[in-house]
Amino acid sequence: MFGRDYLGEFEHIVLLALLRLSDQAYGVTVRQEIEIRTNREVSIGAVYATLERLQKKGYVKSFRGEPTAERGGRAKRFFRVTANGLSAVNRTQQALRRMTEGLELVRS
Amino acid sequence: MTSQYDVPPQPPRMAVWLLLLFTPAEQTESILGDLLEEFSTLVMTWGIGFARRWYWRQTLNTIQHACVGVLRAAPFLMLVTVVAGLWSIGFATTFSQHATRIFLDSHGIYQSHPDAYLFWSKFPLHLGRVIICALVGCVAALAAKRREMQVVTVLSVSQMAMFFVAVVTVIARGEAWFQWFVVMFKWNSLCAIGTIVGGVIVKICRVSMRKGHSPA
Repeated sequence: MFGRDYLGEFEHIVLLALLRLSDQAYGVTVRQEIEIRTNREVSIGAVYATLERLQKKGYVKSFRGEPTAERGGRAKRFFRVTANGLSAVNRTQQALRRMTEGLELVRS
Repeated sequence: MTSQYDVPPQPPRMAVWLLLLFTPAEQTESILGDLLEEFSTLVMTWGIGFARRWYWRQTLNTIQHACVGVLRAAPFLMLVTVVAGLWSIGFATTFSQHATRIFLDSHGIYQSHPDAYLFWSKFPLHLGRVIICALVGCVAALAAKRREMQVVTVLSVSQMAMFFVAVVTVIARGEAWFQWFVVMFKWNSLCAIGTIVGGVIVKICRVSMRKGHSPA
């Protein structure tokens, strides 16, 4: 049977950021982690749109933290990768590995 | 003694307001909180000017994502709303124009007061169209539920696109178009703004209702 639920590029990156951050994953840290590691500016809207999509697919779950003064009394929304999300990451990683096997990728 | 540092610097109000309008309700609190947290850090590190520019960049990119996201997630809803909205505006405008002209003709206004006839057969009709657009914007936003601003933005862009198609058609026919264009551009822009205002009213009402229902 073929697994068809491969992740898109940004979905893949966001899930990897969540895995790296484990229990510290919320909007700010996810956005900064992606910016630092991919060296590209990411908008908070793009992060939330992707997280929302991943949550609908069942790859991510979220819960609210406590409101803090530095956030103007607004609560953080923390994200965790589910078992399905982890499988999707593995599936996508394996597909990419198979696709690049034997290729001599020249670094420009 | 008070100093400027007693009140922490706040992000641009207009940007915050736009985020309130365009972000989905369930994400608004988190997005505004996240942006404020980073904004405060940037103010301390790079200064207020840099932080404000960053906040605006984030706002505009977030709005763009919100609009594109809806187009991708619900293209059918968007198409139906836009087609129904444009049809409603066209129908209501034509109906009100006919009704006004029938009323003016039946009372013999043209014969008795030609200037008044010219005024009533133009200005109020254009104004009426703007009001119709605002009402259609309200209805479209009500129908779109959590995507109010995205739908009315696409609707108003479609209105302007149709106007420019009409302009190209008139130019292609070789008719005198410039004066007509100036007048109609003004009124069509007002109609497009009216549609967005309709959506803004609905969104603000919904945000206020949600605040009223949420626990303190």
